[in-house]
Amino acid sequence: MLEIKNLHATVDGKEILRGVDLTIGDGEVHAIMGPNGSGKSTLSYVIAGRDGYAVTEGSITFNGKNLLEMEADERAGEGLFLAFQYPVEIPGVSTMNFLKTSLNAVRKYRGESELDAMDFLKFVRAQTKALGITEDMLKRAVNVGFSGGEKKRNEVLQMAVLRPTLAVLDETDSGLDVDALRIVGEGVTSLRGPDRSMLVITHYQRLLDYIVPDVVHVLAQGRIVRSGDKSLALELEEKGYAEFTSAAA
Amino acid sequence: MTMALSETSQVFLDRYAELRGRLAGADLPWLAKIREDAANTFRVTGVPTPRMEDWKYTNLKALDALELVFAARPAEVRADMLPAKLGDGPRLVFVDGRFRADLSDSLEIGEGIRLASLADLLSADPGFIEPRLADFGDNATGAPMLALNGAFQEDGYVIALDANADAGAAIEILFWDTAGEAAAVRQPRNLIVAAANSRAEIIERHMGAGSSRQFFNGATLITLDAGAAIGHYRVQSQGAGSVHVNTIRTRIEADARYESFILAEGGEVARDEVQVGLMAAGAYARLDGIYLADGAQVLDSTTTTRHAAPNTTCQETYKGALDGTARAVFQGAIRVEPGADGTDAQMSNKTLLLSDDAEIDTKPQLEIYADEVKCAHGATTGELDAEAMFYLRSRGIPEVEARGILVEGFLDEVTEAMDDTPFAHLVRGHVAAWVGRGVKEKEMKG
Ligand SMILES: Nc1ncnc2c1ncn2[C@@H]1O[C@H](COP(=O)(O)OP(=O)(O)OP(=O)(O)O)[C@@H](O)[C@H]1O
Ligand SMILES: [Mg+2]
Repeated sequence: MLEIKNLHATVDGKEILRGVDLTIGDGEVHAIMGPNGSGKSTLSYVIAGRDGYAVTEGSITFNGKNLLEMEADERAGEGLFLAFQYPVEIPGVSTMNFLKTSLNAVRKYRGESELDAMDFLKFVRAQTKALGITEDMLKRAVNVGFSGGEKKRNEVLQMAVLRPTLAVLDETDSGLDVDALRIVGEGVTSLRGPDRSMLVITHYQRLLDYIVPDVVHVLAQGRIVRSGDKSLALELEEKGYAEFTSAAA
Repeated sequence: MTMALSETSQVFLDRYAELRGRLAGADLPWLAKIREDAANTFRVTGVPTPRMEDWKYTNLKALDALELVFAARPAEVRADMLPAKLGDGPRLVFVDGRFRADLSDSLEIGEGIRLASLADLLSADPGFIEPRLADFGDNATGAPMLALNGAFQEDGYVIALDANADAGAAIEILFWDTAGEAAAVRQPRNLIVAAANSRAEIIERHMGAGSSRQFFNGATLITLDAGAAIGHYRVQSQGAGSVHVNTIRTRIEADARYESFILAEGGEVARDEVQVGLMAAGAYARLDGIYLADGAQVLDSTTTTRHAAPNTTCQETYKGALDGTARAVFQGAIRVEPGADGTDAQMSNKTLLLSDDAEIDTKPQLEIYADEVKCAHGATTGELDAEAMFYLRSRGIPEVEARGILVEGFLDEVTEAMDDTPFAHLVRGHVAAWVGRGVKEKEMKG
């Protein structure tokens, strides 16, 4: 599904990613943990195609295609989705409209017909219920005035609507209360399937109780320094990252 | 000492001298005098130049390049060539400046409401028109374009409401221009007369066939007596080569409400000016606008609010998006006269620049001579939010469409106040078409 090889990336001339290697197979869930500032969000942005990140070395292949040659919207059309660590507020644009425009754009890219208003409404209502998202939230401007937890739920709703083949979740669990964590965790888990892979960035192994990962990686100072099974998450939570930061320094 | 008049200014005066005997109501001595006085006022300065403080940012020299035609074009226009009516209300249609009763619709809307062309009323009831036209001070030297309009004052619309009359569904006025290479000169004068506690909504559309071109210099004189409520909504979508100047002068009496909305997107150079006088306690004005410009367009929104009595309110929000090398001008003057305590004046102007070469000149001008005044004004200029752009694109939305969504979102603050009225739909339609123009070009190329 996703193959990242020796990825180096700079922001404003500063090298943040320094040789990331990562391969995610179909249907696999990988978790990335790592200290603040180690480059986790940077990796997610480079995968999603944000401007301002220069890839100086290495490659990213997504289902056999060179991801780095594509615009962000083309990547979404190809089946990539990024749940933002900090979802963006868009004043004046209703959440409902945003979801519809986005779904239809992706469908158009995939050569599918656009959904009409009624079918879309039915489809969205089915998704919102499970995530505890109210009609009122759908009418409001995208993320404007949403609480931290509501923003994260809105990210998961977008994922549910767009049905990506690869979802990158950047700290979707942070800012959630215990109940919301369960709702989001179950929501994401329900989207798991043999054709859908996930890259879950998190600081806490709690989320991984719901979304049980196949592999856990540690990203430190722009490199994956260790990989293991889900027990690695527990170990990290206990011991912290001192071992990796000092070793790399 | 007299200044030498520009060639174009002289052309206007020569044509005035030639045509004055044939203009609507030319046989009425009082009207001939108003015209003559206005022509003399215009003669003092001629067409304004950037040397005039008020016209510093908007240069009408584009007029010099136009081939001006004063005669009416023989236009064959049928109803099916015009844009569809907006709602269930009446519609007055002017084609190339001429009122067309045959294309207009359901003008008899009830007791106490008159919808007519100015020329028709000048022959049917000149006594009604005289005091309204005489009263508006065309001779103020600070307003040469209004004076120029006053000299010609061609046919326009009259909406007159008796006390307590309610027009019901919105009244639509369509100014339709036919296509042509030369610029037809149109200088309509309109009147809205709202007696005490009357109410009406008026939607005015200025548009034309594909390659229409005009020099439009219109004026609308409005009076709201105590307790009257007028919604006055305009869409200015004139042909690309046009020069458009429009001046609205409104006098608002006690507890009356005047709401103006102007969507400006047409013309090469356009100035939409609104002057309101809040004359008695409780008078209220709301002045909103959207400007959308691309290419080398210059769109000017100028407002002047005069708080002449205690406890008057004016709320003003103008927002626009500029692309290409377009330039917009916003001038907002607020004058609070001595004794106008309790004035509440809010003014805001926000512009989104979609290209590095687009530009906005914004000039608030406050003169406050009263003590207890609530007065706030602000102006901001920004570019598209890069983070929001990435967010939309990461959801599969292509660049041009994403830009459109952000522009519409930016302008939503102005349109949302209008709820679900026919005019709100009209404005949203124009905004959507404007932001979508890039998509169309792209699809045609690709
Ligand atoms: N525009 C920039 N210019 C310079 N440095 C930047 C820029 N953007 C990010 N960085 C730096 O890149 C590093 C990696 O940031 P990133 O957001 O990827 O970390 P992270 O692993 O996601 O951290 P966290 O766990 O706090 O979310 C940080 O040191 C950050 O300060
Ligand atoms: Mg991060």
